[in-house]
Amino acid sequence: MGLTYNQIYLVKIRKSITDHNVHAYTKVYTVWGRKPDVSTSPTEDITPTASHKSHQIPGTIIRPHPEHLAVQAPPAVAEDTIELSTERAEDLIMSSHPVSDAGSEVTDRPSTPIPTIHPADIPLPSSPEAPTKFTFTETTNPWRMSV
Amino acid sequence: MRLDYQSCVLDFAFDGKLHLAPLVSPRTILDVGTGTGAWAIQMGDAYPDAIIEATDLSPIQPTNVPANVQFIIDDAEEEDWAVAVDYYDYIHTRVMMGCFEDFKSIIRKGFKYTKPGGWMESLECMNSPFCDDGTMPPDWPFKEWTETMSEAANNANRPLQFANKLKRWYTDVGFVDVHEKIIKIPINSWPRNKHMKTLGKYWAENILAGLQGFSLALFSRVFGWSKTEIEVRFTLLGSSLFVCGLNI
Repeated sequence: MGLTYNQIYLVKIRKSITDHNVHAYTKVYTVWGRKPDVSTSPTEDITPTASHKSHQIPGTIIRPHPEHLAVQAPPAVAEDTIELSTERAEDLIMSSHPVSDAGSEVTDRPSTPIPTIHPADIPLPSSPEAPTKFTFTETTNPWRMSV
Repeated sequence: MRLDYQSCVLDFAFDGKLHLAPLVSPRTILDVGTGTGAWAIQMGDAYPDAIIEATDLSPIQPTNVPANVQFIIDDAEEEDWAVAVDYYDYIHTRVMMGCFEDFKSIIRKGFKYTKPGGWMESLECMNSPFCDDGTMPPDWPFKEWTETMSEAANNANRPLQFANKLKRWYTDVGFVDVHEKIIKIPINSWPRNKHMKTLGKYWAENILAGLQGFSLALFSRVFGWSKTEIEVRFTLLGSSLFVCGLNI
């Protein structure tokens, strides 16, 4: 059987892979990153606009309890999050999402006594490439019960 | 199947860790390019309260899977992933080398569909081998083969070698708190350390099993070798594997 150069070359590859005299290794990279919770841009306008509303997922509820609005926001735990002042949060929520009776059940965390805002429910800036986004998390939610 | 085997080897290399991102009770998880679904199935068992959506171009996934694992035939290169923006708590990709023309655009889309506060993670291997003690000759056949593969992949506009760029790409598209962990997997069982020796033995098997598929795909598409020509060559290679005593 006549062997071409390429055939011999490929046999050599297999043999080389198991050659213990060559101390070669593969590098395996694992990279992980977090999408920012809250905007760190001082110039960002956090007041929702009509375009924000258009991105709200149908059927989702963002409804703070009025009696909890005065509760002091707990200190932010996670790094890179910005604590939100209660007044600004109130303006934001009440202006963009008036309290509605329809579908007042909180679907995501039924054991939580206070309505929580799930990150998926947060309206977004219209552009996916917007450098900054305003959202709530467990740590920045000013209506979280501090017990 | 080699992909399942590779998944097992990577689990072994990472001490059984399925992810390195600090996940806290994730609810929506996406596995891009799931392949045989091995990782997604393990995640379904590890996080019974989460929904794991796993996409791939090829319908090669098993059917007897945990109820919270869904396989979807989809192309991650599509601009619209057909879910709401900010939908996933965690997006995972693993060994996508050569799958995409522009992996950075996949990361960018991943960013778009990750929830604020959620994580994305990618695991990739460098295609070319490394050596620290000078025992790898410049004309080492396996090294030359990886260079040929890189060249072929670049010709096909499906680059293989981008693992070292991941961190920069993650930062570029807007991720914060970006971490990079690099582990070394020996090409064969040359190390003295028992764990590394076993890992190398497994990895050599993985490479040998993949050699045929990788070469078939790229050599035929890019270098225009005929199927018969390739089959004849690899029939010969099959016997060479036996000669090497590698039928583990």
